[in-house]
Amino acid sequence: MEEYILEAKNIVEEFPGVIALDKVNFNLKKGEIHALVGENGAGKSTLIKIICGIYPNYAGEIYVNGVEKRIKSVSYARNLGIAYVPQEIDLMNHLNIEENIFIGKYPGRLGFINWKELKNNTNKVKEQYGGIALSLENNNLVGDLSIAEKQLIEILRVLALDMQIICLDEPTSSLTSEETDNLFELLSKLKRNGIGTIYVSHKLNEIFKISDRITVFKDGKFVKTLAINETHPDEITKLMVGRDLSSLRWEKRSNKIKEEFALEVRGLKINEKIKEINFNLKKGEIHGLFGLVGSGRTEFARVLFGIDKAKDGKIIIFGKEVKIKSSNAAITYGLGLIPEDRHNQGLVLAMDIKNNINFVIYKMISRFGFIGRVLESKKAEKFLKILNIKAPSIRTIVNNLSGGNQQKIVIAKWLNADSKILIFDEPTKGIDVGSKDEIYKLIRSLADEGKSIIFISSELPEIMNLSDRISIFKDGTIIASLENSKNITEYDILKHAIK
Amino acid sequence: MKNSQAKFLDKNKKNRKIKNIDNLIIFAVLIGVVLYFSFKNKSFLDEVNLNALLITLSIIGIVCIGQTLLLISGTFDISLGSIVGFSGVLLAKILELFKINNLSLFILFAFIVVLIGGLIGFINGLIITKGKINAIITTIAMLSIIFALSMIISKGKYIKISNLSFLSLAAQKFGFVPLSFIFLIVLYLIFFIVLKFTVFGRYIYAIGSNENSVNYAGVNVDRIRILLFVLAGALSAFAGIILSSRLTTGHAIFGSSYPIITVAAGVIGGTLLSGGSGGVIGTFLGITLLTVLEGGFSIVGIPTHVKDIFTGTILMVSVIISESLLKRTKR
Repeated sequence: MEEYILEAKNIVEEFPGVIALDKVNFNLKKGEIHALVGENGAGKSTLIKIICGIYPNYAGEIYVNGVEKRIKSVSYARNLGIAYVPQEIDLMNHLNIEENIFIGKYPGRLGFINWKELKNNTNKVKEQYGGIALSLENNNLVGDLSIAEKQLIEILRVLALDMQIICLDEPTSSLTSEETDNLFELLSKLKRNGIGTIYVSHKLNEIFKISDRITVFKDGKFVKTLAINETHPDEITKLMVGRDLSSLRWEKRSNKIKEEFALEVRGLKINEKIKEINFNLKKGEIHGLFGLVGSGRTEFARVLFGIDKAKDGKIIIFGKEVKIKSSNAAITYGLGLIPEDRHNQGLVLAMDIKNNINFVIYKMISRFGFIGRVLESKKAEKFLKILNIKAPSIRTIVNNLSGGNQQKIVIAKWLNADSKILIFDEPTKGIDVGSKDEIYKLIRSLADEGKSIIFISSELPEIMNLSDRISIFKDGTIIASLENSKNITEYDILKHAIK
Repeated sequence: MKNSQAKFLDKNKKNRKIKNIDNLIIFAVLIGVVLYFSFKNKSFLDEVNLNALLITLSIIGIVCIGQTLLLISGTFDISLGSIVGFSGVLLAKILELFKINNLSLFILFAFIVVLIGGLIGFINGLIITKGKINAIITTIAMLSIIFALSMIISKGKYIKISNLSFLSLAAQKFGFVPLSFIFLIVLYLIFFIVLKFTVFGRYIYAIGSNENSVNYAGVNVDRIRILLFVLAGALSAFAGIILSSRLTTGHAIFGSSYPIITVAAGVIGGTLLSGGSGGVIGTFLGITLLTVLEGGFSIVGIPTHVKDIFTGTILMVSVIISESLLKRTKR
C-alpha cells in the first residue's frame, strides 16, 4: 500500500436544501500534484474548503499521515500543515512582504519583533525558491503587488510555515500565460520538496501539463481518479459532463422568434481583458451565454445594465443606438437585470414583498411623492398570483422567503416595470431543484409572450434545455455562437470554453 | 407547505410586535421617570419648569430629526452640533452688524442662515458620496472647520442679541407651551408622513438596508444621500437659531454635546446604527426621555457628570437590547 499524506473518506457536506458533497473520496501522496475537476457546482471547492477547515461541519473521516483528524477550524488545519490559497487572495495589503509571509510566526522575544531575523528568514525562503521570488523587494507593500505576485507571496508563506499540503483554488484564473508558467515552476519546486498539492481548476490543458493524478467530481459525487498518463482530456471532459434533473426539454421555438433584433452589440470594449464583444438578441429569443467564471459574461451584463461603463463600441436597442450611462437609463430603454447576487443586488431583504415588487416603478405610481397605496398593493397581489409566489401575504418580509420565491420577486419587479429585455445572470444559483424547474418554465413563457431574454449560466444542462442560441465566452470575447438543436451535446459547448 | 406558510406569518407578526413593544417600553420608562421626579420635587411639573423643559426638548428634538433620517439611511453626521452653534453666532453677528431690528428682515436672514446650514450638509454629502470618503471622518473634519469659523466670527466671545424678534422666538408661548414646541410637533408630523407614505421615505429605508440593490433598481442613491445631509444641516441651523434666542446670545460652543445625544436618542428609539429601520416616533420618545432625565437630575440636584454617566449607560443598554432583538428576529 502506498503512503498517503492525506486521505478523505465518505465526505458529506450539506447546505440548506442542497447536498454539496455526497460520500466522496479523495487522497493525496507525498510530493504529488493531484488535480480536482468538475463542472461548476460539482463540489470541488467544497471539498478543499473542508480539508482546509473552512467548513467544519462535514460528515466522514479525514486522515492526515494515516491518523484520523477532525478538521474543526482553519488554524487547526494550519497546525496539521494544510494551507489554503483561495481564488480571491486575501493578504494584508498595508503590511510589507516580510510581515505578510511570516504573520503569526514572527521571530522575536517578549512580543518584540526581531526585524533582522525576519529579514534573514524571508531571504532564506526566497533563495530556496529563487526565480521571480528574488526580484521582489522585502519591504514592498503587498497592496502594490500584482495578483500573480500576491499569489507568489501566499505560496512563499506556505513554505515559510513548513506546510506539507497546499490547496490551490483556481490559481490561474486571473494570471497571464507567463505568470502561469512561473507558477508552475514554483509548483514543481514544491513537489521536489515533498509537498502535496491539491489543484482545483477548470483548465484541462494546464492540468495535463503539471499534475500527476486527476479526480473528477460530478453533482457532488465522486466519479473517478485517474493517473494523468493513462487518460486524455477528451475522456475527462466526458466524465465531467453532468446529467440533468430538469423535466424541461429543449424544443424548437423558431416560430415564436421574430427576425428583428431587440438588442445588438458591436465591438464592445469594457476593459483591457474584455476587448471586443459582438452580440445580438432577437425579439422573443432566449440567447444563452455560457462561459467559465472570469470569462467576461457578468461584466458584459453589468455594462448592458449601466452599472459599469463601456470604453468603446455600439449598443443598439430596438433599432436605436443608445448610450447606457446608468441603471436608470437601462431601465428606461426597457432592460431588466436579474443579478447573480440576488441578496445584494436584486432585493432589499429587510423590506416586504410589496415594496420589492414596486421598487422600480415607485415614481410612476406616486403623486407629489406620495405612494399610491392601493395601486401598490394591487400590483403586488397581481404578480404574487401570476408567478405563483408562495408567501402568506404581500407584507411578508422577503428575507423569510425561500430562494426560489425570492428569485420570482426579482423577476416580478421587472415585469412590473414592463421591461422588454430581461438579463438573467445565473438565475438558479442556490435554488432547489423543484424551484429551478419553475424558473425555467417561467423564462420560456416570458419569451413566448414576446420578451427577449439573455440567459447567463455556468450550468450546461440548463443552457442547453432553454436556449434558442448559445454563445460561448472565453477570455473576454465570444469565441463561438451556435444555433441550439437536439443534436448539440455538452461536449460541443465545453470544448470551446475550456480549450 | 401550509405549515411553513404559517411559520412565515408568525415571524412577521412577531417582527411587528417587537417594534411596538420597543416604543411602549420607552414610553413606560418615560412615564415612570416623570412620576419619580415630580414626586421627588413638586416644582418639576410647574409651569415654568415645564416650559423650560419643552423648549430644551424642541431645540435638540429638531436636530434629532435630521440625525434619525441619516441613521435610517445607514450613516450619521457628527458636525450637526457645530452647525447649531455656528448658525446662532452667524445670525447674531449679522443682525448686530447691520443693526437690524424689524421682524421681516430677521425672518429673511434666519432663512438664509438655515440655507447655509443646508449648504454645509450639502458639502458633507458631496464629499461622502462623490469623494467616497468615510462619513465619520468627513463630518469630524467638518465639525472642526465649522467650530473654527464660529470662533473666528465671534472672536470666541458671546454675541449679545438685541433684536427683539430674535429674542421672542424662544420666549413666545401659549400657556406653558412654547412656540418652538409647536414647530417641533409640526416637523415631526411632516417627517413621520415623509418616512411612512412617500417614495423618498421608502428609498431612505431601502438605502439603509441595502444600498446596492437600490442602485441596481435605477435609483440615484447619491442624490438621496446628499439630500439627507442637506436636510440634517438645515434643521440643525434652525435649531441653532432657537437655541441662541433662548440663551439671548450666540456662542460657538452651543450645541457641542448634540452629536452624541442625537445619535443616542435615535438608538434608544429603536433606530439601528446599521440602518434600514427605525422612525421619528421612536426618536421623539428617546429624546424626550433623555431631556426629562437631564432636567430632572438638575432639579433634584444631581451633578452634571453623574447625569452623563447615566445617559451613557442608557445608550449602551439600548444598543445592546436593540442589537440582540435584531439578532433574534433576523434568524
